[in-house]
Amino acid sequence: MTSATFLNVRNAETEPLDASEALAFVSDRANGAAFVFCGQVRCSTGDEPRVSAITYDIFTPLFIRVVGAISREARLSLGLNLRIYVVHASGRVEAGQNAVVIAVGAPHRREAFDACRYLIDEVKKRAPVWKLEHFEDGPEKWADGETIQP
Amino acid sequence: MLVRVHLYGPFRSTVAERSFDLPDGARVSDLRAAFARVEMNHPLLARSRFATEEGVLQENERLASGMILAVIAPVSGG
Repeated sequence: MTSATFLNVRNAETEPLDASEALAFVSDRANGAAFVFCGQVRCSTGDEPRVSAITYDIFTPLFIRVVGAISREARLSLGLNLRIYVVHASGRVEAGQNAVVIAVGAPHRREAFDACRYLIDEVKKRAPVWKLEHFEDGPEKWADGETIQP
Repeated sequence: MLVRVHLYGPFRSTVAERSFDLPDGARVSDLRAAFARVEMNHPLLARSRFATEEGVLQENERLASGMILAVIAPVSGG
């Protein structure tokens, strides 16, 4: 991993995810674009039961390895000079709070947009993360997921 | 030989780890069968994979004594 990459899993109950930290990490005088994506806990969609919070469980060593590989793929595809920041929350995250923060710094906006989209799309498919949904009414349950892609 | 499996997410209910005594030369598929017996054919097992800290394993990969693995239920990150 190069020094232009920062990957971490953070207990959101004691250390909330901070988008400004991500922006500061990926900003660089050589770059003309910095893009920050915040994935947040959504309380509801349509008629679904209202979610009050989500507890995230993560197999951290594999998460770091997988996201490191995804970051390298993004660089090979979109530019070796990308600056990349990915932090995922573990523990309980209340509705409206950040569950994942991804940021990319790049010379031009297209690479920053595209790399950020690639990172979040691949994290959702390949990272070992599980969500326990807490509802305002009713028992908690593990969210449906997809079989992990190697 | 003894291998340990760490449990995460939907598999982590009352315990965080299980140990399995498997024959020498056992493969991931053998571990899956042993795991199914203990977990009473957990509904998510068929869609789950086994992994180490280094990566997701194929079903035909051989295990080694003392290995530490994790069972990876369907994922839902982000």
